[in-house]
Amino acid sequence: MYLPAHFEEKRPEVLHALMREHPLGQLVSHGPDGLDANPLPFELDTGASPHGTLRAHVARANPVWQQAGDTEVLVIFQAADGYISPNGYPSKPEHHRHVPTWNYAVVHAHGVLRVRDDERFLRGLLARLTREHEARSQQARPWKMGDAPADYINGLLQVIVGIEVEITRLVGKFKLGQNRETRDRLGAADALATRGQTALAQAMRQAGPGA
Amino acid sequence: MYQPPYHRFDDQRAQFELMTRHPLGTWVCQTADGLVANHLPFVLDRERGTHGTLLCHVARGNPVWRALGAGQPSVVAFLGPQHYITPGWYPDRAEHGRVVPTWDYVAVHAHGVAQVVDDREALRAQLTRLTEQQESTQERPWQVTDAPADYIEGLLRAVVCIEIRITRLEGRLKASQDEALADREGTVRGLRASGSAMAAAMADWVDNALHQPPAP
Repeated sequence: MYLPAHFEEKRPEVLHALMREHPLGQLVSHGPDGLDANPLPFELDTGASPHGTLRAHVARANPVWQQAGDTEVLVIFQAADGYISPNGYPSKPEHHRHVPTWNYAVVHAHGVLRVRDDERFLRGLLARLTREHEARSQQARPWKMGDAPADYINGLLQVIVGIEVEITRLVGKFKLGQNRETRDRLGAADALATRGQTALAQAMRQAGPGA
Repeated sequence: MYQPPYHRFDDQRAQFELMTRHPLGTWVCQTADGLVANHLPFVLDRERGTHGTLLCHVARGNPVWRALGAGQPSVVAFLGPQHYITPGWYPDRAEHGRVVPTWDYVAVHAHGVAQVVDDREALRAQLTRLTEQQESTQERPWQVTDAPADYIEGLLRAVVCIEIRITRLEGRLKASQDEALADREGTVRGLRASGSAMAAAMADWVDNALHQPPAP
């Protein structure tokens, strides 16, 4: 990924936070027809290895686990993105030397994919994923794996396969207007907020000094 | 991308619509340094080629355009709305409990070979089109000609135009089609009550899928 220094985010805790808040990662691998990509919700375990370990499950019918096992893969996580109009820059009327751009924050996790065709691995993963997302979505009565009949869960475990990626390289690009005057970054954020794009607006406000 | 029949999303017009509404594509290529992905806003030319042609521009300083091998395949992934789906939204979960959470999303992946197009006018046309597309909802749309000509000329020299003629389109609409009717309706209500723009957008897809004929 092209990564000018002012957009590089290196703090592991910031990268990990983005991956947790936006856990639907694009798993990119090589398939028989060229490059393949599969969107999958990932669990991030920061205690298992220096850069963290990703875990997910795929349908047994999805050929990716047979094609990509023991190969280099890339998992891409993406936060809110949006078009930035020069209209939001307070400095625009002064010189008009602005063009539109697109802002976003992404994390790229590289590593080797390992297949975990293992019922215990899957049971633990599903229980943790469920606990995490029920908590994040603030369910009044969080659903638990134990709420479903055992035979039903056992049947589901037969039709999925676990995968694991120990991250060997973690790269973050936070393109949030850090290269602009503070008033322009904040002005563009205000313009986004007015249009309802609050998540990106918030990220841009936090990307440098405040007003 | 794995595409089970009940998640089919292969109507090219609908795929084009998603790519245009969510134009920030993740462009992945294989290079000598491994898999490389860049995030770029794409313009879709629906008229060129059987499956359309994607256009974007990268900074001249971005090594990707020099690393493009002849005929190397690449893929551009476009992701629409996505959201966690809790069984808490399913009205009859207490009755039999035979449900689990899932994640819904809409994705279109465009495959093709990327080429560098060294043509200043093609680049200018692309930037104008991208600007018009994105500014159309602004109160007073900004235009490329609002900026001084010398400033624009300088920027044009600093970027490279990339063209990808699409050879294959893959789509997946994962919108709870494999759940019970009442649970799908519950999911629409749950998403709408979540309050976020993303959840509301996902609700529209789940709702629309309810009114589509089932896959053959």
